[in-house]
Order: sequence, then C-alpha cells, then structure tokens
Amino acid sequence: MTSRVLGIGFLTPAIFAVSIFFLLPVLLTVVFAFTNMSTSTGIMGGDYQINTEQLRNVSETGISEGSVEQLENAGFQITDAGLTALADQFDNDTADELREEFLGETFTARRDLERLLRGLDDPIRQTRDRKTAAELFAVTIIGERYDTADQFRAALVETKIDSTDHDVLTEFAYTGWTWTTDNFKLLKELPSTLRFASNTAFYVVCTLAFNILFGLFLALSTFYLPATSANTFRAIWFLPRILPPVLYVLMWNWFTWDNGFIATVTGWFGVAPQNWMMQTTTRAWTVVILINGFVGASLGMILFSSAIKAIPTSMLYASEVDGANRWQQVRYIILPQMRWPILFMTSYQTLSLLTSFEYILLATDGGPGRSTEVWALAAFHTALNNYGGNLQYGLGAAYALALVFIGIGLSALYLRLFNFNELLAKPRIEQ
Amino acid sequence: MEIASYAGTQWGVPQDAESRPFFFWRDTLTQLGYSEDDIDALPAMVANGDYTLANVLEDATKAVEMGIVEEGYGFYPRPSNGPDYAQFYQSFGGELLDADSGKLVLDTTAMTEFYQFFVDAVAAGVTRQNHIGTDWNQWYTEVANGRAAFWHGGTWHFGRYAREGNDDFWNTIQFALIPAGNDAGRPNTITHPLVYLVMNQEDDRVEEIASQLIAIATEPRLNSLHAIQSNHLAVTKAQSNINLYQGDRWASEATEVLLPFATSQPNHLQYGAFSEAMFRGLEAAWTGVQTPVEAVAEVEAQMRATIGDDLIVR
Repeated sequence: MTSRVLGIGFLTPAIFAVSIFFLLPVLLTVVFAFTNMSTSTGIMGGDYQINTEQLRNVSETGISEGSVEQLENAGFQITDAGLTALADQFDNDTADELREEFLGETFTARRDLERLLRGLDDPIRQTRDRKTAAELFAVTIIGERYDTADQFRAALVETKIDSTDHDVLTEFAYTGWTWTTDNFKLLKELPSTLRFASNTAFYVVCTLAFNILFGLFLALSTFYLPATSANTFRAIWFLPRILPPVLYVLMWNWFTWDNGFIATVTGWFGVAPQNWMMQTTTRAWTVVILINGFVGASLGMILFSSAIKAIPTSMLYASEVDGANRWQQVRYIILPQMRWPILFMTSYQTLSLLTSFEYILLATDGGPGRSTEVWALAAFHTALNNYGGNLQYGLGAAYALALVFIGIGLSALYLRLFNFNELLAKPRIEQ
Repeated sequence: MEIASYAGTQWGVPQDAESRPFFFWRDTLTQLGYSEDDIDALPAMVANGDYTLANVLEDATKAVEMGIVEEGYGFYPRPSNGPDYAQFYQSFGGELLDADSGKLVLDTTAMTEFYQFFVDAVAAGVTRQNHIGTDWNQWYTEVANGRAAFWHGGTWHFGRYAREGNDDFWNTIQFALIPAGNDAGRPNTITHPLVYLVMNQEDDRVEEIASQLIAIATEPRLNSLHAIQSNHLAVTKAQSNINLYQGDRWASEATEVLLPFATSQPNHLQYGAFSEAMFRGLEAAWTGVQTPVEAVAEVEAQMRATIGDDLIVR
C-alpha cells in the first residue's frame, strides 16, 4: 500500500506537467479552432457597437430599409430627459446653461457635442466625463458602446427600430468572437491547403528517410571504429543537435547564401555566385531536408549506437569464426536486433517532424514562393505572424487541430504496424 | 489627423509622417547617358508620368548589359513584405480602398500587371529571383554604396545611408515618387505615420498628463526637432515655417516632392490580411512558382475565402 502511495506521489509532478504542457494546449487548440478569434475580435469576448464604418454595409445584413434609415439619421439631441440626467450626475449650472441656450439642438457626431460641452461657461473638464455626459443625449446607437446584448437591445427599442431586425442587428454589432465551424470550411476551400499538405508529406517522408538511414549509417560505421575515434566522430555528428537552432541555421545561411561559403568556393572555379538555398525549389528542399536531417540523424546515431552495443559480442565473434564479412554481420545479426530502436525512431521522428517548423522558419521561412511552407509553419504564419498585425488565432488553431488528428491517426497506425504490444509485453521470465 | 481616426472617432495623433520614394544612383544614370540636368529633372518627369516603370526596366536592363551594375542589381526592391509593395499595385492602377463602400479592392488586372513587372525584371536579369529574404543589413550597405541602379525605400533611409558610409547623398542619389506603371496607374507614394495613443489607465490624472505631454510634443518646434533627427517628415503645415525644418534640405525637398502625392494605407480592419495575401502572391510569381495569372487567381480565391465580406473584386 505504501509503495502505491509513494508511486502516486512520484507521479504527481509528471501528471501535473503533462496536464499543463500537453493536455491543456491540445484542449485550447480544440477550443480555439471552433471560434473565429482574431486580433479584431480579441479573446476576451466583446461589446455591442455599430460604428459609422459598419453603417455603410449594414444594408447587406438584410434588414429593412426603414431600419437602415433610422440608424443613419439619428444623432444627439439636447432633450429634457437628458438634461435631468446631466443635472443628476454632474452639476445643475451646466444643465441650466445647456437648457437656456441649446435645448432641442441636434448633433450628428458625438465629437461636435463634446466640443460644445467643453466650450460652455461651466464646462465639463475631464475628457472621460464629457464622453459620459454626451451619451446622455444620444438618440442614436451609432458609435455607442454597450456592454451586454440586453443593453444593446434596449437601445434598439428606444430608437424605435423594427423589432424583427433586432436579432440580426445584435449579431452584426457584436465585436467579440463567436463559435463557428467556418475555419474548417475555409481550410477545405483554400487552394493553398492541398499544397501545404503535400509539402508536409514530402518533407516528412524525405527527412524521415534521411534521418533513419543516415543515423543507422553513422551508428554502424562508428561501431566498427576504434573506441576513441568513434567517440570523436560521434561528438562531431552530435553538434547539430546540441547547437542552439538559431545559431545552427545561421551557419547554414552563411554556408549557402550568395556571398557565403559555397558561392565563394565555387566562384574560384568560375561559377557565378548564387544562393544555394533559395535560388530554386529543389535547392530549398535539399537544404531544408539536410538541416532537419542532420539534427534527427544525430539523435538516431546515439540511440542506434547504444542498441548495437547491447548486442552480445559473442554473436559477432561467432559469425566471424564462421567467415561472415561485415555486410553479412550487419544484414543478419545487427539489423534484425535493431527492430525496436528503428521502430521507435521512425514513429518518434514522424510525429516530431509533422509538428516541427522552427528550422524551416529560420532557414527559408517557407520560401521561395511558399514552396517549402509546411502545415505547421502555415499554422504559425496564420495565427501568429502578419506584417499588418491581423492575426487569425481561430484559423491557425484549425490548422493545428488537423495536425493533432493526423498525429493521433499515425500513432495508431504505427502501433498496429509494428506491434507495440509485443515490445511492451512482460519478459517471459517474469510470467 | 484623418489618418488616425476611424469611424468618426479620433483615436490618436500622428507623431511623424514619412514617405516611401524611389531611388536612383546618379553615377549609373550618368553612365547610361543621362546628363546632370536630365537627372535633376527626373522627379518632375516621374511625377508627370513621363518616366514610368517601363523606363526603369529598360534602363536597368541596359545598366546590367553594359556592366555598370552586376546582374540582379538593376532594380533592387525591398527584401520583405511592407507597405511599399502596395505602391506598385497603385502604379498599375490598383486601388486599395473603395471610397463609397469603404471596402478593400482587389483589381485583378492591376495586380496581374504589378506581378508581371517583377517577373519581367527577373527575366531581364535586373532583379534576382531569390531576392526576397535578402539580409537587410546587406541590402542597406549595397544600395547606399551604389551597387544597385534603382531601388525604393523610405525617407528615413537618408540617415541610414550616411551610417552605411555614404556621406554625400545629394551627389550620389536621386529620389522621386514611385513611377507609374501604365496609363491606368499613377506615380505615387505611401505614407505610414506612427501615432500617439493614450491607453485606458486606472488613474484619470495619468491619462490627462499623458495627453498633455503629447500636446507638448506635437508643438511645431519640438516635432520638427524629432522629424529632423529621425529623418521623418512634418505632421503640421506650421512646421514648414520653422527654421530648422526649412533649413534641412532633405526634409524640405522630400516634403515638397513626395508628400503632396502621398496616400496612406487604408484604415481597414482586414488590410493586414489583404497585404499579406498580396505579398504571398507576388512572392509566388516572382520566384517562378506560379505565373502572375495563376498567382492572382490564387490570391483572389484566398481573399474571397478569408475577407470576402470586406472585398470588392474588379
């Protein structure tokens, strides 16, 4: 019993971390994906307002022409009711002055009324107070801000707008985000979706193949080297993984840019200086795959090397006695026993490549011409990167959510294909 | 002031104006056969529509062929997205905002021709196909020292070029509006002022103090000091009478040549999405991934799907 309690105790930090850093983000992605959140709607909800810009398009919502006219022509008027409220909230002198000189006067823009309030003999001095005071005289809802739908509807009733149009107008006036499935419809419609998907498939398959094969090659070749030189080589090949990504990609930039290393060296042989990363799509893909491939391969190398070390050396000695050459050793002894590490690396890398975009972002940023834009990078660009600041969180989350489903699907496929149950089965000796 | 207002509310006060001119390297033009007088008359010719983007392409091609500049350095545009590219759309007759309905406008003909110009520049060897993404520092050094024949930038570049080692702007560089692209278009430039905003604060007195500070800073003399030091342009007419502003050749000439023709980016909620889609299309055409027509078709589909309600397609 105590050991069980102890176990739960030990697990708590892990469960906590998994919930905060994994489950919560996935949950939020699902939530965001079904909203139209963007920088224009904010993420905190919104108010109810129709401004003069929106007024120009209000007729497109299908409300009656009478309502449109009413919306357009109402303004601000100095009325008795407004003056009473003003006297209540501010002071009597101001109200009296307004009553004597301006009763019944109308203003189309609030700005004009505010200017009047400032210029009185008994002026309202604070900007915020002037705004509050001006609202007391509003007979229009244009440009007014209401905190709740009820307040907005009440204002609609007051302005005597046809009640059949209230629902439409309330929806039209809402400035916050709403629940919607439009993001997924949009993904289906956009011509770029298919291209990003095929880019991603191409990227994952090529990089994965490079990762695994090159990692295997490194592990096998260093295995047959004397220990010290093997370790030196492994340390060198491990550099891409331990370098900070920004620095690593910066070095690639220096290497491939049109005044960089390759261009300089080939320049000695009369090749015109050119950009070896961005000149063509083929080059961009080659560089992207190499950049990610070397990072993945170094991890594969470490894992495969230790797996090879775990193979009993007696088997290798025996095979040498039988006259097997290196290739035969690899083919018939080493590779068959590497099934699980290879399986693990394949599934782990597939899933991490699907969602990884930081190296592509730093190297080509999806270029030239969106040709190396993968799905995860598109999600980033949509949700978090826009020159004019129009960030579309909802659509970006929809992109990300699609990746979550693909990831889950692929995991299930791998589990079946490689028969993970067998790997996780209890050792026979314990049964 | 209009620039910082939206839907009838004044949201902010402009801090400075700038403008985005087209630049010429004088020495290259001389070698192409232009006399000093011709070069001095260029801004006026551009403004009249006598010198167009077609002439730019022609001269840039010649400059490359004659070996005055290297291949890819005939026309050396900004290497990343920015308000600048909308200028070329306007050069070919594109309109960003429909004045009547307040909606964004995608003029497919203008957009196609604008893309085609960059594709032609690449085909002629005057602009590099992989130009987008060039390092900004490298870019500044190159244009400040005459490696490129034609390029475009902003008024604040004046100070930057000096830092890049070019102390003699007036004898090395000529500037003008962005030339027109065809008969439908017009020579133009975009100004993109930064504005002061006062945020909602707990304490009203803080807001009051902040707005008074802005009022003080916007006073013509102080604002001129900022404009001259940062190589930006004036925000009030009164500043043209301030000695410091008047006496600064760059500020006064740039104001005179550029500001009367300057338009601003639309104050539209979806303009960021519009501009992004426009640049992605340009990038696809420029790098040869799609033809201009294909690129515009995709931009149109993209815009219709994402900002369709706020868009007019022509």
